[in-house]
Amino acid sequence: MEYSKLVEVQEKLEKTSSYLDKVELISRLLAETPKEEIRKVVLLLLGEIFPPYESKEIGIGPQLIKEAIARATGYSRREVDELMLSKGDLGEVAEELVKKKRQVTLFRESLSVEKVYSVLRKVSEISGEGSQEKKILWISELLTNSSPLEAKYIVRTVLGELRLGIAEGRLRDSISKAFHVSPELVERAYMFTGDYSLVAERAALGGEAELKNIRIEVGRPVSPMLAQRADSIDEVIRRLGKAAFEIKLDGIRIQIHKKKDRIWIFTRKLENYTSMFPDLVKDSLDSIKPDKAIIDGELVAINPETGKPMPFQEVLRRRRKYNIEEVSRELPIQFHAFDVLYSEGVEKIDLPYEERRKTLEEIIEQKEGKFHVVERIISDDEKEIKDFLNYSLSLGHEGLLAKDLNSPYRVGKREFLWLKVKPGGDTLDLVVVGAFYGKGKRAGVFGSYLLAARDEESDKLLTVSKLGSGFTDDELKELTEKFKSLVMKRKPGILEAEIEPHVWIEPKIVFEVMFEEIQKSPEEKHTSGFGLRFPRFVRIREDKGVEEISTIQEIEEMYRKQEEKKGGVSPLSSSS
Amino acid sequence: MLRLVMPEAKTLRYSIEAISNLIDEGSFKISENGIYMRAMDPSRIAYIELQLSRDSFETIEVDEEVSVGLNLGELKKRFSAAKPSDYVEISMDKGFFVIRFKGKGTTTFKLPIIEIEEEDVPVPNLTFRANAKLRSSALKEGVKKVGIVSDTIKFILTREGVSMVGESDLGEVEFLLERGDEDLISLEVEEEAKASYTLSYIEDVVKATAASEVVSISLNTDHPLRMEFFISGDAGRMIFLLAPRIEQ
Repeated sequence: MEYSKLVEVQEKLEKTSSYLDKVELISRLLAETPKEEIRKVVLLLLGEIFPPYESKEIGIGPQLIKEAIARATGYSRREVDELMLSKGDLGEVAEELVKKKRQVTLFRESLSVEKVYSVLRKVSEISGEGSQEKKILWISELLTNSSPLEAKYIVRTVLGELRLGIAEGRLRDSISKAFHVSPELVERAYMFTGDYSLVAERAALGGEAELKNIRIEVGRPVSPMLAQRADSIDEVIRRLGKAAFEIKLDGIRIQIHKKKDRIWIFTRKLENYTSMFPDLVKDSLDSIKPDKAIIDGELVAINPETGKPMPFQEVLRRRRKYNIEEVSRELPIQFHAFDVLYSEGVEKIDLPYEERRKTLEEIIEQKEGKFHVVERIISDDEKEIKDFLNYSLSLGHEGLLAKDLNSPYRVGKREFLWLKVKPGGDTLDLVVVGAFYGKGKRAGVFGSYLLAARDEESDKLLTVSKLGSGFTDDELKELTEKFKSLVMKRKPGILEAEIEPHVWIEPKIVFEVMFEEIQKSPEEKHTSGFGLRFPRFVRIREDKGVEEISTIQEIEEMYRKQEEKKGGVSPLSSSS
Repeated sequence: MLRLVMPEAKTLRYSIEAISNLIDEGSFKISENGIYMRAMDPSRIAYIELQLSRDSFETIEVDEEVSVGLNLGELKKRFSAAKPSDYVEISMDKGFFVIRFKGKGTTTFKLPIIEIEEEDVPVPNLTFRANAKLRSSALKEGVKKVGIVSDTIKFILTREGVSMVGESDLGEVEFLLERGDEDLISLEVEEEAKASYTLSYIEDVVKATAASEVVSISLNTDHPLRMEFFISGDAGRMIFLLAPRIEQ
């Protein structure tokens, strides 16, 4: 397929904000794509070269791209930099310079999807001496053969700027429409594979039958089952009756896959973190008895002095500074398994919780301080549960996770089968979209941030709050460093905002924010229509991506519950 | 059976130097008619053609035509090790390209033959209305002087002469060969022409002047440039086509 065809669709997607139009555009493209090219087309649409779980990147930054643009168009680096200052978007810089390029070529080859994909893949695999120069050469060759519009999208793909463009729900509906398969099956297949490119290909090849055939596979991450929020133990008992209560650890959610002597470690975002935790790889080999298994659990960091859990961020932060062996010594980690999805060639997800738990206890050989099966009780007695909650908190954990005894493992679903019981204020996970310079003591660093949630209907980011408290001075300094590289010259396209921060920030980093209350906000202030009272920074959610932040719809629901509790009449509930 | 002998290494040495900065790998066709190669640089700005007819060789024994893929950077290093006056013998041995230099002692290099995707290189079909033939050394001189001031070079062919011009923030330079200059062998201009090119490409190309006495330059305004270097009279030639820069 010609690359220009894909690019035309991407351009139209950027221009329209209608959900249905977008689905129509994508589904028509997919239906016209030759089956053997579907995976590549879907990955490029998502702005990717590899499915996320391969955790490989193209590895080209803006400086290399500028050099490639300069070479392909015959402009100097200085001219490219100058145009970048006025445009603020390298994709548009490439588009304009290709349109009026100085260095003409003898002839132009038209680009195919295959060509673009294979070059980008090759570029991501180049390493070693002289690799930067080779990468520049390949990218400039692509740009030399590009039309202006193709150049814009090649640059955006290489820089990873398209990744926000297509929300997953939209892709699900587009695949469903293009190949006449039910959206539920598409979603299920995605939850089982974490890879829309594979799902689209299967749907194209064999429709619903082929999608139904997709099973769990060791080495390919599965979307984890998620928990709803419960307001009280009372609510849990009301919903579940007699249930299991597990200690809720404050770490990161990890899925361990084992095949003989090979281990994979995946995060909630289905990213491959295996190389980051060699200690966990070793512990897993020691503790997981079957040859083939998939285990779900929480990885926590332990303060070596107190023996108590500590914020996981410390581990993720330090990994960049020290070598990993040193970190494993200084910041030991502990894994707590709580579920099994697959063991010894048999899928376990459709078994009830209690049976899975039994299997789990059988196949895990616990190693004190390293690899555990999470502690739990089964009860419907409020007093007993409360004592267990207090016990959990006294150990420095977050609270409890209640689980329905008969529930299967609902891959990728967040239902009222698992419930979080957490004391203290509510939190939201919001993405940073802007920053304000501090004053006085905070001069020279960003003193506060502008945060946004995702609107499920429009796929836009809408602002919810400014945030300036809960940070230590050191944290403010570190965050400023972190955000400097994400500063954007213009408002991100996916964001709707009325407030103008001092600088715009590329929406990538997710903050967990605690607050006292959700308030209505005039839309000329916060475009979501909501605001937060007394927001406080809790931590960075390294394990969450922008797709996973709190949605406006969730905030609406929380607001409704909050107002109900107050006994007031919620203006939202009356309309629904 | 494949064996080619050249009495002097310089022809191959300097032709390869001229090519090797533009392309990484080349596929050489070797037959009883000599050596032939053509390629386009990855950015599609330069086209290169090398022809060495059987007259370039002292001996040529080839049973059937073969295509030999070689890494040009490596090939260049081997030839740089030779003295220009060394005697060269080329043969093949089990996946290796064998180059033997005889001068001070005998040096034998074996260079692995690589697999090269056969690329369909279109030959741009061009006709020119301004042509000049000059001594290669004069072209080299002009390019060097323009390079002092600018990183682009403008060729201007008029009925009066050939000039090479450079302009930049640093000022201007002009190198002029007037009609009648002994370095300007012939000048045929139906229509005056001028066009600019990226200097670094021309600098690579003029390395071929060391293997060639005479070069012809053909031009149309703002169109590709054609340069043809004649090697040992008419026994060989290198042809370059170079896409222009368009000044806005």
